[in-house]
Amino acid sequence: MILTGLALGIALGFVFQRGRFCVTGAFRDVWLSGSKRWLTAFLLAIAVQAVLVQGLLGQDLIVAKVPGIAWAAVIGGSFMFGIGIVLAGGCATGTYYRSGEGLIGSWIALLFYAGFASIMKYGALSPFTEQALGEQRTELTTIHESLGISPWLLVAVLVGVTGWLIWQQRVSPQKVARLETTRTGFAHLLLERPWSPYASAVAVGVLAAIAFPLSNATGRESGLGITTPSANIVNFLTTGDVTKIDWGVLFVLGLIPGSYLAAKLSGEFRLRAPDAKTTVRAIAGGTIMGVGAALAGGCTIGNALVQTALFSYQGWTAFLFTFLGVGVAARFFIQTHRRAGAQPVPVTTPDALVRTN
Amino acid sequence: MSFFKNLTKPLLGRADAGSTATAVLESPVGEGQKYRLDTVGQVCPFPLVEAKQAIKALAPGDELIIDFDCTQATDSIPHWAAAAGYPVTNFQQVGDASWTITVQKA
Repeated sequence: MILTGLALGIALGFVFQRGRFCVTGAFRDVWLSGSKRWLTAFLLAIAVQAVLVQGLLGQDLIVAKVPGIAWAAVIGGSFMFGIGIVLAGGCATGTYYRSGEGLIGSWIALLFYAGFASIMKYGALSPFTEQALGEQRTELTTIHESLGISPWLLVAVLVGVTGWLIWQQRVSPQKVARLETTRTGFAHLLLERPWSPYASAVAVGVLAAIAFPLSNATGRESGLGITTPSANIVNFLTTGDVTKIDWGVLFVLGLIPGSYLAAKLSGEFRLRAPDAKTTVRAIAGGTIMGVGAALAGGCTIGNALVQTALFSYQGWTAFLFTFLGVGVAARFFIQTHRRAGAQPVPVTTPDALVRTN
Repeated sequence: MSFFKNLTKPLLGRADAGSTATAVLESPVGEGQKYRLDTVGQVCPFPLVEAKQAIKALAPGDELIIDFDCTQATDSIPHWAAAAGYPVTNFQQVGDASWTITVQKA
């Protein structure tokens, strides 16, 4: 039943697109403007998933593999990944769903990301990955096991921190402008109305938790993942090894039609070609993402969303160092941004006010 | 395909619908000069980054028309304007994945 992976991928692609759920943006905003609005939503997604997953684990209803942490590989790989996602303009998932929105720059980043993840996992650089990640693994898996405490204590801390951040965000300084609406009922709610970051986060957290029983049913001992499935697609395409096609592969392949459907139905799909600078950044970013995620054993989903909900050392270390990598890259590649055409041009004639597109 | 068409139909012809944004806020100062910033083709977060840079040069009361085509900015630009206390005098979708928003410097 690996087709459930495809269904979940489509659902999550839809949610990511409509919810504008972008982990790169969530981390980047903290560094660029001090806004914790999306970081709070991301933590809410982890918290929702943690409650559900720890409940299922407690009842022995699911199995979740937690790798022992290889410190240097996870720290270095995640930091690289953080730099890569700023350059590519989206994390691994973000790149998948923006591909479905018609952003050709994201297609390029995706090809380089999946290609280099495969080179690192199965190809020419796999001995290096094995040495850095495989052979350096420690016995440290989850925080609660090493401390000898109940995972629910950590769930409580996470829920507490998330709740406190939500409380901090409650004051809105002014009414936020919205687009005019032309639809009613279900279509309005699903395809037009801006989704609150929290609503999107709850949907992401629930879907990430559902991933465990669905993928367990096919013999896979993990939840959502992007990097290994992406590497597996390339490996299958280049070697013809059909055993690489599993639940995870169908899941990531579902993200693109899911996001396409959401974008198309809401009038947000259009093929958009990047300029030379954006293309070079997409290639560099995709490459760094593929190498970094392979070393770190996951991306912002596999590590920062899923392994964090399992309270693994790998998950939270990756979360922290991806966040730091994003900060450094934002400083060098976003704050220094200058573009010749980015000058405000005075508008004189009333006709010029209506943009014809 | 009819289900599909029904859902997308209301979007057609929106480009010439005129200035009918729902959240038009009262302007605190008199009529100022209008400026246009074309960020079409720029991926997020650059439309917002460029808007922040551009509005610095404007005088209070001046309006900045920002044309953009990255989806995320439909969330980030109005939230930035609200947090900065700048009224949004126009906000429309002008075509598939194309938007325009007018932010008044206050």
